[in-house]
Amino acid sequence: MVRAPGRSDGAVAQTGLLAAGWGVAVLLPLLSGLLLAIMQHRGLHLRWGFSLAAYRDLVATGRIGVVLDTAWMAALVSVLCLVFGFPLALWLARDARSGFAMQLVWLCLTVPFFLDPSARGLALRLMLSAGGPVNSVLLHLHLVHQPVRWLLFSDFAVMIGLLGPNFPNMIWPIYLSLTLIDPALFDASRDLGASPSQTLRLMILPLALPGILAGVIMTFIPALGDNVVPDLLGGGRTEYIADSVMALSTSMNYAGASALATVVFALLGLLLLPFFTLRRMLARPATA
Amino acid sequence: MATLRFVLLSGSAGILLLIYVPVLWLALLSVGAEPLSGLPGGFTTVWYLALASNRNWVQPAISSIEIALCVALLCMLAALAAGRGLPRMRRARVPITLAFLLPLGIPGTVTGLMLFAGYRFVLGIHMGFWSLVLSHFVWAFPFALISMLVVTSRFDHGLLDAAADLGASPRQRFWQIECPLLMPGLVGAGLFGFLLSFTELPRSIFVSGAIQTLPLFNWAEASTQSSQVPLIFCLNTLLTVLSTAASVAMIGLLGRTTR
Repeated sequence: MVRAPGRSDGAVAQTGLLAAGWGVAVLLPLLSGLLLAIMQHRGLHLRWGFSLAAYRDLVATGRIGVVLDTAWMAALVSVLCLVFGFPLALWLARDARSGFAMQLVWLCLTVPFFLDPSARGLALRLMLSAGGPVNSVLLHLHLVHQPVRWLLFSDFAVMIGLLGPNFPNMIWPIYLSLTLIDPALFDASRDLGASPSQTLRLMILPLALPGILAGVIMTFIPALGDNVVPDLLGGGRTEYIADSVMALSTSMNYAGASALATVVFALLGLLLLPFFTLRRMLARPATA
Repeated sequence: MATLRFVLLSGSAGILLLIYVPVLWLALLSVGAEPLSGLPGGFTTVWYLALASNRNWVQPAISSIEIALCVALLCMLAALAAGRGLPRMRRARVPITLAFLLPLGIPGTVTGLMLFAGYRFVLGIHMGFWSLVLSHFVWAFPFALISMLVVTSRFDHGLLDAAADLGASPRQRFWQIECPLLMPGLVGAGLFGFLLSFTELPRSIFVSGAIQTLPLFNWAEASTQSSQVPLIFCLNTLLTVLSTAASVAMIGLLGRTTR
C-alpha cells in the first residue's frame, strides 16, 4: 500500500469541485429522469404528484416483453463475445510477443470505438441484402437456389450487427485483468503438476473474474441500448428497448419512457447480483 | 484443449472480420458505378465529385467538430484535475471514481432520455449546442479519466518532493515536471473526448434540439432509401480513414507510455 502523498497542490480540492459539478450536471438529471416515472407532466411542464400510471401503461402496452427480448439478445451477444473474446485476450496477454501481428490486433480492437454507428449498420445491410455479396457467393456456390431472406431484417441480422461493435469492449478489460496476474503463478501452477485446463479453471478464470465482469457489463449495456442496429438491420420484426424509448419520447410520453428506464435499471441490478455472489464464492479459498 | 483453443481463436478472428469486411465493402461501393444494387459494378469517382459539390453535410460536420473540440478540452481539464486528485484522496476516492464511471453502466439511449428529461424539466437548460457538449462529455469523461489514471497512478511523487527540495516553486513543479510526464494521458484524454464526441449518436438524438451533428445526419440519411445514399458511402469511407489514422496515433502514443 502506497502512502497518499502529502503535497496536494490543490488537486484534491479541484477534484472535489469537479465531483460536485458532476453531481449537479450528471447525477441530478439522471436521478430526476428516473423520478419522472412516478411524477406527472403535461408537455414540458412538470406537475408534482405521485402516480403509477406510467407503469400500468408499460405493462398494458407489452413493453415489459420488449425489455426481456432486448435483454435476451444482449445476453446472447455478450456470451458470444465472452466465449470468443477470452481466448483472444489470453493470447494477447500471455502468448503474443510484441510484433507486427500483435500491433495489428491492437489496431483492429481500437478502431471500432471510433467508427460511425450508421456507417457500420449501413455497410452490414448492404452485405446481407438479397442482392449483396453474401447471397451472391452462396448462389454462385449453389449452396442455395434463391437469396436467403433471413440474413437481413431479422434477429439474426441484429445479432451480427451487435457482435462487431461490442467485441472490443469485452477484450480490453479481460486483457487488463490478465496482465495483472503475476507471471510466476503460471510457472508455479505448471510446476505443481496442474494440467492446462486445471490452470485455466482454478487459477486464470478466478483471477480474471473482475475483468470478465467488466467486459460483460461493457458489452451487455451498449447492446441493450443500441438504436442503430435494430433500426437499420432489424426491420421492425422485434421491438427493442431503444425503439420503445424513441417511440415514447417522440410522442412526448416522458413519464412512460422514464418508467421504462427504471425497469432497465432494475434489470441491470438483478443481473449484477449473481455476479457479485459468484465473485464472493470464488474469492473464498478453494477446498477442492 | 488445443483444438478448442484453435476453434475459439478462429471464431474471434471471424468476429474481427465482421467489423472490417463491411467497412471495406462500403469503401468499395463508394467507388462503384451501381452501389445501390448491392454489388459495386465498374470503377467511378462520380460520387466523390458529387460529395464535393453537395453542401448538405458541411454544416453538420462543422457542428460536430466544434462540439468535439469543446468536449476534448473539457475532458483534458477534468481528467487532469481528477487524475491528479483521485490518487491523493483517501476515503472519498472509491465513491467519487465510481460516480465518474457511472455513465459506462447505463445504455446510451436511456442516458440520452434521462439527461434530456433532467436538463429540460429540472435544470431548465434548452437543447442545443451546450446540451450536446455536456451529454457528450458525460459519455467521454469516464474513458478520458481511465486514460489519465493509467499515467497518474504510476506517477512517482518523489520527483515533486525532490524538485521542491531543490527550490522549485509550485508552478515550476507543475509545468516542468508533472505536466510533461502526464502529457500522454492528457493527450489520450483529449483524443478520447474528441473521437467519442465526434461519433456519438444515441445521446445526441435526445439532446440535440435544432442542431444536426454528423452522426445524426448520417443516421437520417442511412434510414431513408434516398438517392443521396452513395454520398454517405463516400463520406463514411473518408471518416473511417480519418478515425483509423487517429487510432494509430493513439496506440503509438499510449504504447510509448506503458512501456
